[in-house]
Amino acid sequence: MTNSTHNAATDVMESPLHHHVAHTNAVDAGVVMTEDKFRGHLNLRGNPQDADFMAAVASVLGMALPTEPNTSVRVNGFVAYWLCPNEWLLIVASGAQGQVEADLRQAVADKGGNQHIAVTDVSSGQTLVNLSGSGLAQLLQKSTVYDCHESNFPAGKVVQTTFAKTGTTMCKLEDGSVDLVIRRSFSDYFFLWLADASEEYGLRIA
Amino acid sequence: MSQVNRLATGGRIDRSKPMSFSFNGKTFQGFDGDTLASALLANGVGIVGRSFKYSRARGILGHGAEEPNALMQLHTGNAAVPNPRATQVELFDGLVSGSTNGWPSAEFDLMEWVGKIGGKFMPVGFYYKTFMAPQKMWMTYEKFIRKAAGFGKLSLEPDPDTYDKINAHCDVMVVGAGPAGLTAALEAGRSGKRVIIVDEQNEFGGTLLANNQTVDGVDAATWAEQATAQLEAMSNVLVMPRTTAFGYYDHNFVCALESRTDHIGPVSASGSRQRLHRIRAHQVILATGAIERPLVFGNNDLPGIMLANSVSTYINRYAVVPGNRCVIMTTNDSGYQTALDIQAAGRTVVAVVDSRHAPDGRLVQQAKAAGIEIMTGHGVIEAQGSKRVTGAIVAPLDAAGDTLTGPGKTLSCDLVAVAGGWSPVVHLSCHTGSRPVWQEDIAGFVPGPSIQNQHLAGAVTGDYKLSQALNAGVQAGAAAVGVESSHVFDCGDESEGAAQALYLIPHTKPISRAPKQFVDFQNDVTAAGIELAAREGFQSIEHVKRYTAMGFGTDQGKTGNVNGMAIVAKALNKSIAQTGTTIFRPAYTPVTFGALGGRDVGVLLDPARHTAMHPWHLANGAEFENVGQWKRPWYFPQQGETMQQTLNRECLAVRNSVGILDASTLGKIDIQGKDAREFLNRVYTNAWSKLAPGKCRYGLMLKEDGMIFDDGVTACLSDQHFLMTTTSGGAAAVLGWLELWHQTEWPELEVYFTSVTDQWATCSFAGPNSRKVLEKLCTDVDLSAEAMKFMDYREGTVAGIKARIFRISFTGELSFEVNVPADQGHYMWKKLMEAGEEFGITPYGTESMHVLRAEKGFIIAGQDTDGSMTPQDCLMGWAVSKTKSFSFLGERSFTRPDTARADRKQLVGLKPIDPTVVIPEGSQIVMDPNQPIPMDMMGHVTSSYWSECLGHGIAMGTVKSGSDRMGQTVYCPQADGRVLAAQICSPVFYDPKGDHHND
Repeated sequence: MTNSTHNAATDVMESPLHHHVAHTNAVDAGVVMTEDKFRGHLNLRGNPQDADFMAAVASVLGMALPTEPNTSVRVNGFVAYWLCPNEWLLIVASGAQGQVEADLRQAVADKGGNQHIAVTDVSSGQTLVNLSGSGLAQLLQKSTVYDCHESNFPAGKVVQTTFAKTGTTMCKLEDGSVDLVIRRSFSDYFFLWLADASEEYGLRIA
Repeated sequence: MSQVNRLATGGRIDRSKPMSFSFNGKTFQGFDGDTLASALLANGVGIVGRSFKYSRARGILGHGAEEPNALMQLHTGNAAVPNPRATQVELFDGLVSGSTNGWPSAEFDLMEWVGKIGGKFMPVGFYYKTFMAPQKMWMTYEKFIRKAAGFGKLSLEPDPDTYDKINAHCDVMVVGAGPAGLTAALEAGRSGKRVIIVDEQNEFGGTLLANNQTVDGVDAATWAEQATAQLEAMSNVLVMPRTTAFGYYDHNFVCALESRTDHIGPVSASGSRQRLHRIRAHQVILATGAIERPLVFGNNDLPGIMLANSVSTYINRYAVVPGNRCVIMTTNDSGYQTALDIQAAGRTVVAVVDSRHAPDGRLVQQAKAAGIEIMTGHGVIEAQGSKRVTGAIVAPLDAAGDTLTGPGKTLSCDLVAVAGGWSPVVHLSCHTGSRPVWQEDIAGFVPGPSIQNQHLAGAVTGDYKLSQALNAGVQAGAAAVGVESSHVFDCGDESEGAAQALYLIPHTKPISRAPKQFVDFQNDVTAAGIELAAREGFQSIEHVKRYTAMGFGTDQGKTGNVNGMAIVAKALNKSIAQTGTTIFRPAYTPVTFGALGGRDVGVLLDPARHTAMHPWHLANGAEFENVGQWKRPWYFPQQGETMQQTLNRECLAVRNSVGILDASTLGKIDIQGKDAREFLNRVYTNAWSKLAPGKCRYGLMLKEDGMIFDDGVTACLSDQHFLMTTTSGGAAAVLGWLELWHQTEWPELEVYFTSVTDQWATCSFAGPNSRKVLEKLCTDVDLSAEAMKFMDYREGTVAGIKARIFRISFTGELSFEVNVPADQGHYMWKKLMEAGEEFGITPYGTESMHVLRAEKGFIIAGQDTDGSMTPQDCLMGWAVSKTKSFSFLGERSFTRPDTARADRKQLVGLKPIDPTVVIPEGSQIVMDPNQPIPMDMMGHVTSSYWSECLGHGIAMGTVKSGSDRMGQTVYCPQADGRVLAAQICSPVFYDPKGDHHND
């Protein structure tokens, strides 16, 4: 089923990190955290060798899905992360996930075949967090075993790895900041870790 | 007190920054740049501790990581640090230090008399031999031994400091910033590649800092400063002083401990005290240097007997001469440098005693020219003194150094500097499994072949000349980054005469009768002890190590091992190469547990997973239970309630009106694809082909062995779309299981799985009034018993939110589950609480859920099953389809004789004969309580609760042939002597016909 009815009233919707927003401090903070809350997250499965599937998705998103491992494509507010050879994470505008899911299913159906796909709304199960600042590099070193040096983690690259003792899908942005996808049930742990690890740099929640 | 041994000029200390510190309660002065050891020596402190076994007075032997004696107790209260080596402790103003042992003090130690009297009765292996019998007395012996021996003490209070860890990656990791490490890092750094260089000391330079040679015409220490500055200026080079690479693991993974505030004060004012660097390097360059060896002679452990190279280091780097009248005992030319250094410092060189008969090297000539007395072909056979060396007995040796050729004479002195040759620091190379190789020409072990991307440079290879170290560093650095370099350093004339391989200097008496000749100072292992071990039949060096304790302790035999191996070899009539060496393991020097733990402590030890409704549970006083990593409400006590009272109230609310449970933690897997049904047919025991959209079904999942692995309800959302639920703890394992079978065995099935556990928040509310609650919030679904039956699924709007509504029950009551996207889960919960208020809706936790389901005989996979139970064992044969066209996982195993036999344990209900009794879970079940031990164990109790609605205890348990024993009485003997009787019955205690959930 789809979930397109989103009531934006704050007492109805609570993002995974909503109760940490009050934790602002440190004017010249070395780490800045921004929760890009309530974005639409869709998990998409399909066969990239199937030209009809790829064309159908491209017609909805306005861009081709990335097929190069660990890459991303970003157009007009749509972001597609490559997760595995037949799996992508689509991040769309807040509340748009229901329509995008319906459009994807329709576009694939319109191709006439019986393409094997899956579209799953996971918007509520995870959240998108942006981390930036002068302390970011060391913060990431403390938090993940992945080598986040520019030479190994350039802009646009998508990595599925560990963040402390939880998992994350992270993407380097052009401005040097990092987008992290964090599972909702681990978000309190994530924040506790983040607050602790960034203490020496100062943490600001934007 | 004055610094009696401090030189007026020279050294790398800052005399403008005096520092006050205390040792064993007395206050002393030192300078910035001192180590605790150099400051103690500057103040003429001789005794720094007492030995482990014999309680002998011990002084400082070395100047670095090799130090076996000067273990300190630092700081006080909760900041106490046990066992750092004074040679590695940087002095700061106000430092409080003390010996780790000695009673009542290290200076005057009563235990020494025990050691002296008992010494001859405490041979090697003494503890093993004496205290192991009778075994029951060991605990008593141990207390005495621990008090008498041992080193520093930890505070019992929590550590006030924090520690953290960081991951680092580089192209080239250089271990050691002595001459070889510096040139290696410079060469690698110039390539632009990512370089990390670590050194344990506060300053880079290693031996360059205490060396009077020149490098390309520049004073060695100045050259080191310039090289360090060049490295610091390279943005691609990370320069880390005070950082010890303590472990070298597979795939060039190096762990290094950075001491961040230990040199500033007892407790870190801000930030972590120590940081563990987990470094992954493409290339590793080991430039770990070499450690000088002491020589083994009588009473060679007296305070005032030191390594010659250490004496030179104290003079040149710290401007401290640790004695006035010095005898130098050497087997090679390097001892002469120390003689020259002592003389230059204005103190007396009594004599250089050289075991060689005709030394004629450059330094020997210099010493002769300087008028220093040289006794060739002699050895120090015994030191004299009690609390400090007062004399050295010197006797002539034959050319091999094996036999005395004449009488001894005594040289009066207060310092004996010993130069017994060098041992390359092979420790790190050993960590990766490379066995050191004995190299006869340098009389030392060097690193063996390595399978790592590892390079060696400098003294670790057994080449001790400064220019060679610098040049080898260049070559290693160039090789590590794949370039060529031809730079050659000039350090002037470095020629040396040949060294003699000598380890144990003979005494006039045989080893067993001579004064104690120490090999391993920290563990009080003597030459006699090692000989005894050989006599008692220990031939493997690894066995000798464990029998004598040689090479144990915080210094891991850095000074003593080679001497010990040589003595073993001689006793066994083998060569050292044949005897071999023990293997060094991490850590090179001790590492705090704090650093190994890092920040993974307290709330960060293990992630706590929370549901969207967690804030509500917290605000409403829930007690929590850990289910996997989830924090689930366990029960919701009200003021003044006992836990049982709470459970009774919660259970009755469900049976009589309505209760609500947060079921969000159940694993949820979204399954899409045209072969989804077939896939379910194969992984579940029951049939899924005919499950219509809008319907749910309970399923049992087995492993290949036919044993229950997980269970749950799966709903058919549409013809090619299903939602599977799993147990809270089993979600990840089930998803992995599905992917495993799909990817490896049935890739032809068109089906995709996606975890949606976190996506959906689940409010489960149960009880006769549950429909009324839902009807208040949901108007677009016909919720009547006729329209929405038990095990039906509908999509609808609840409290204005699009929701998935399931009519399923784990309580046996009329029950609904409302799933909404988790962003709205907290809101939905609150709306249901509001709507249920008029019915007294009662939140309940996992414990009441357990009681309610046990009243209905519903199993919990993992509690009532343990991986050895089939569906038939659980009397759930009804959930197994025998008509599926394709087999299902586990089916074949049903026909195994063991799985098919009739007398397997089966899960049955147990009704206590005494209705007030609740049988403890885990109780063993027997048929005859009077049977003599060993009794026939028939099974055990898996679940047991007080049922308030039934008014008696209920239990489930496994019993052999249980289904054939209905009505029989079984017995549960308890540890306290009670025997609890129960009657075997159906596990469905409540509403056996299922009227309630079908309402």
